[in-house]
Amino acid sequence: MLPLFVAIPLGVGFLLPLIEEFRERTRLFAVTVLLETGLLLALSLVKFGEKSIYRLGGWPPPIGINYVLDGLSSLVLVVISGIAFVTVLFAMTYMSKYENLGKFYGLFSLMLAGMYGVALTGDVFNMYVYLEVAAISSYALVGFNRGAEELEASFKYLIMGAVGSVFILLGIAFLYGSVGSLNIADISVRVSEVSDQSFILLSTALFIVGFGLKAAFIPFHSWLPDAHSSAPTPISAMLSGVLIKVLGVYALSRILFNGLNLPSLTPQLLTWIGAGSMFIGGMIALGQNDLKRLLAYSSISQMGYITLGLGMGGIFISQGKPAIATLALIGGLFHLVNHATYKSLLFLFSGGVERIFGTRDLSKIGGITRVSPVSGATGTIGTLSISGVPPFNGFWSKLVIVIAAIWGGLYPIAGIVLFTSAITLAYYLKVQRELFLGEVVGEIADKGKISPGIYVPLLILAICCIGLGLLYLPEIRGIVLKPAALALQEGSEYTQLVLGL
Amino acid sequence: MSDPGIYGLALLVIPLGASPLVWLLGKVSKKLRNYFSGIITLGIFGFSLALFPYVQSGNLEFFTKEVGEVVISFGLGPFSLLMVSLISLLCFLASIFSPNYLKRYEGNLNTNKYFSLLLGFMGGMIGAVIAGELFTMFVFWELMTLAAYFLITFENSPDSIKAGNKYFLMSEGGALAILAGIVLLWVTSGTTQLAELGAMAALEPEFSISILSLFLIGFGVKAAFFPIHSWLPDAHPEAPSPISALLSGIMIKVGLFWIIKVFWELFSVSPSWGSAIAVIGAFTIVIGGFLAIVQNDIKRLIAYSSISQVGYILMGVGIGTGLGLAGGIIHLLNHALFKGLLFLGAGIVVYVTGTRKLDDLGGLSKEMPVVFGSVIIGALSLAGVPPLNGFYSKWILYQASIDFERGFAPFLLVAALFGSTLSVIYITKFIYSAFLGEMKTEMDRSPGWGMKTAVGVPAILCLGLGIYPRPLLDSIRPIIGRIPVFEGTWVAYMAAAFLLGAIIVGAALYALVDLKKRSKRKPAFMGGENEETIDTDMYFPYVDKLDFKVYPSEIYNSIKKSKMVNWLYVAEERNFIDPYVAVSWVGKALTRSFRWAHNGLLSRYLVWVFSGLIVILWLLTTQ
Repeated sequence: MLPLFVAIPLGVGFLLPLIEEFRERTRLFAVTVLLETGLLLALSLVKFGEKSIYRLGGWPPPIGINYVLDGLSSLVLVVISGIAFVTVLFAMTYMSKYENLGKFYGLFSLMLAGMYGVALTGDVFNMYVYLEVAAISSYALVGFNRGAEELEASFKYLIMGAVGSVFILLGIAFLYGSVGSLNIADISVRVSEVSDQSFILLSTALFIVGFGLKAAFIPFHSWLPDAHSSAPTPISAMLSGVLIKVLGVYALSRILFNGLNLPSLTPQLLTWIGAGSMFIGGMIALGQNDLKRLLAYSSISQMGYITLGLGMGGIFISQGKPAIATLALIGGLFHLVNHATYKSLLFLFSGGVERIFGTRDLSKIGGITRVSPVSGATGTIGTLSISGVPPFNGFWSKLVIVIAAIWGGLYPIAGIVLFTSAITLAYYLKVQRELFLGEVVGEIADKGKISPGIYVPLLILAICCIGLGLLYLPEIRGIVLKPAALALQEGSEYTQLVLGL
Repeated sequence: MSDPGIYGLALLVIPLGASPLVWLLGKVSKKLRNYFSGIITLGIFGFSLALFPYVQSGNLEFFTKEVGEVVISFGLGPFSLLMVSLISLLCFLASIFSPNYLKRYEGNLNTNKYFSLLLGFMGGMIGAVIAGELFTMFVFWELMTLAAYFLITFENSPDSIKAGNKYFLMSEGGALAILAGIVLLWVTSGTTQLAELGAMAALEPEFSISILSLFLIGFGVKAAFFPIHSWLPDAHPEAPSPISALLSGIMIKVGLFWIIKVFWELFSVSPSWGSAIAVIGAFTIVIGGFLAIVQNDIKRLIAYSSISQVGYILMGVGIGTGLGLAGGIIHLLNHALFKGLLFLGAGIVVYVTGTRKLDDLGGLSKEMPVVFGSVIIGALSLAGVPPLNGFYSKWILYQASIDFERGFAPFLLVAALFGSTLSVIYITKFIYSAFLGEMKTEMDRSPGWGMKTAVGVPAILCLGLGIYPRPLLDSIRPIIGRIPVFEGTWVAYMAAAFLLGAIIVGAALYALVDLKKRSKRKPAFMGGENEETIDTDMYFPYVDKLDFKVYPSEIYNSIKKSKMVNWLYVAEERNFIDPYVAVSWVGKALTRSFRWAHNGLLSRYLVWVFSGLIVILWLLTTQ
């Protein structure tokens, strides 16, 4: 079953542009992709919690490529599929006025195939290939509107992404040179036997920078605000909601935790990079006037939370505090899930705003709650979630991270997390002031009426923002998040699963 | 009701459940909605009164459920029940006051949302005081903050949104401090349940200072003591008046409630904390009072007065003796009554005239005798005039500070007495400018029966509890049961000294204001032109030449020129004493510098990438 996750979107991705060559069937394309993502969502939900491995071509693991489904990858699969489904639902209405939709949905499917591949594969080089598939289709999607700004952003993104990919490829080369294997599980067995660790450290550094570019850590974040704000809105939601997480944080932590067994100071490094991204991203977001740029900077800040949670998990693993480590990892992954929901909600919301007012400049618009109560309410829920106000989901993941930090004695980290939370609230209150409340400002297109195709996806995500808080309950957390955290924490389990040792 | 245990939860469930219901009801019929919210709030009030006999002997636990690492629990003690009854009483008053008040918003703003938020606000406050566990408390605390935010911004004017944002941001800052304190407490002591914490001998000495100061700051933002009060004078005037009554009357008390609980009920903290709190209280009394005097906005004046009165409560509980605590808690209760009354009264004034400016008001007493009578009772109670309840609590507070055996106790006493003088000054301004003198703004509307009832009920309570304060004492006796000493002293020469002191203070004030030297002059002849109405605040205290018109409140502005206190007004006007402004200034500077670093040039970004790689390599290899 596992190859279906890659095969279906790959097939659709090639088919749609092909059909478009002969006939422009916009509606058909959209429905196909919706069905595709719906099917994948159902599949990932059915497969959730299962632990299995698929050997490509039947070759045994160290030699052949294998797909691994464990706690972490099944969580990531659900996140990808869920956000993709809602996004396509939104795009069906939102994108209907655009041309070349066959190419749009084709690229979208290709990007999905790449992400699923990264999430599933157990092979470093294979991961690189999928990563490039996803990344290259996202470069094209960012420039889909073909305006000057979009093309500039796309070009910047392309260059930075390519530099990142080169670093990753170099890292893989060094790693293969010194360890002699590309299979993640196999690497984790062999890496401790390598006498000269310097090449491993070099490739670790290259991985952190390379994947850090994809994940937009500070100071490798510079492409993100342009790319995420220039992309068509559904794509922005996908990029900020899942792409940076899968290509960046997930891939990096898979390699570092399961493959390289956290060499040297990596966890501390990740923690502080996370803290820095969180703080600086938040501070810059405060100064933004373009709604989508503000959201993009906020993504950098929120990615910091996720990285910080995972990094703290690593610190506690190396300190021999497994219980706190699990909690910290759960915090990071919980935040990953939450951020995927509310950030895609907010990006889709910004698309709705652009539909209503024709601009995203916060200083030129206002009073959306009056114009369209539904989008106002969903947007407010999104902003409150991301600012970490209880009872919305963002609060609970931040709470877990803070508890882990204080419990583990990392008081300065806890302080930064809490302070950044206040900064986050500050810039979302700015959005509240400029956009949600107050008198109606700006010209309103179509009397502010937005169709169900726009607000239904918003409503779905808003309900998720309220409902996902339940993941905090230990019973549910134990089923959903804990296996994912343990997949990172217990490297031997992963090795066992793949190699059958 | 043999076991009231599980019924106690109704205090929380009913308002929260009614909150969405009232919205739906409002879609059917506005009248039904108004009655419904009135009945719900009144019912909760009655229920909380009925529960009083059950908490006399001890705490009432009525709900515990283990959820993972923490145990969610709710329970009632004598103090929290007192808070619940105050909350529900004021919410009842607000909800019978609101229908009239909201009429002018009808069609423009969603008034169903208002009632729904009001009940949610009530539920949040009740949850925050009856929670028996700190994480539970935090969630309801935040619900309260959130509901209040949307209520403050309800009028949707730019000013109200600005004030609301300031309130929300400062509150969240405080809430994060509380959260850090709770987590730290949990990690170091292993429990967040109040019952278990109370049984614990002491905090971990290593963490006690950080935990307690986090709590003091966190709860202090809500309680609005100096210098973290700055959200209050902005937010209270901008909220709809019934909401101002709730904010000042009871929400800031929830913050005080937790300060009292943390520092006197849960932990036995070192007396220096008490002294620090008492001194903060004393400063708050005086500064709040001085700032209240010069306000020209009717609601802003009362808001500053709230800050000053919070100082009294803090001073009392800071002294920490039986008398001090009793005085503080009774003053808390009294302040809830008379401040609720005054804000509702101010709300009526705003409602009938459409302006909040004291200079434009006057002569309303003839038109609204009932309202005037009620407001004057509230005002006198605030000023501490016998036989009203405000006098009663202030008297206990004076006694407590006389008995306090610390070097700085006289300072507290002087601050309290001086603050009382100031309160007479500013409340006279309020009464005179709004109700007496000649009428300057005609009344557009007249207050409905709901409004009159809403100010009448607390007025009767103020008078009743002043004449017969026995119920007050009975209700707080179980709260301070832990502290045995509960008697005051009366020395005759002390009373004489007070009287003399009052005269001296009065003379000093007279000298301070220095009326003779700076008497106002009016131009004798205007050449037949109309007198221009000029906003005195605009040029005071710096320019003094454009005096075409003398307002009754003018005399109060002359205090600004006094050298002794002028610095305070200058600091307030220029936001020097506003931590919010300071933090946002630093934030803006940081943001600007970070943004400056992002110039959009690809080459610079690539330099960042490569230098990042070098730094990471260096960090990984040097170990």
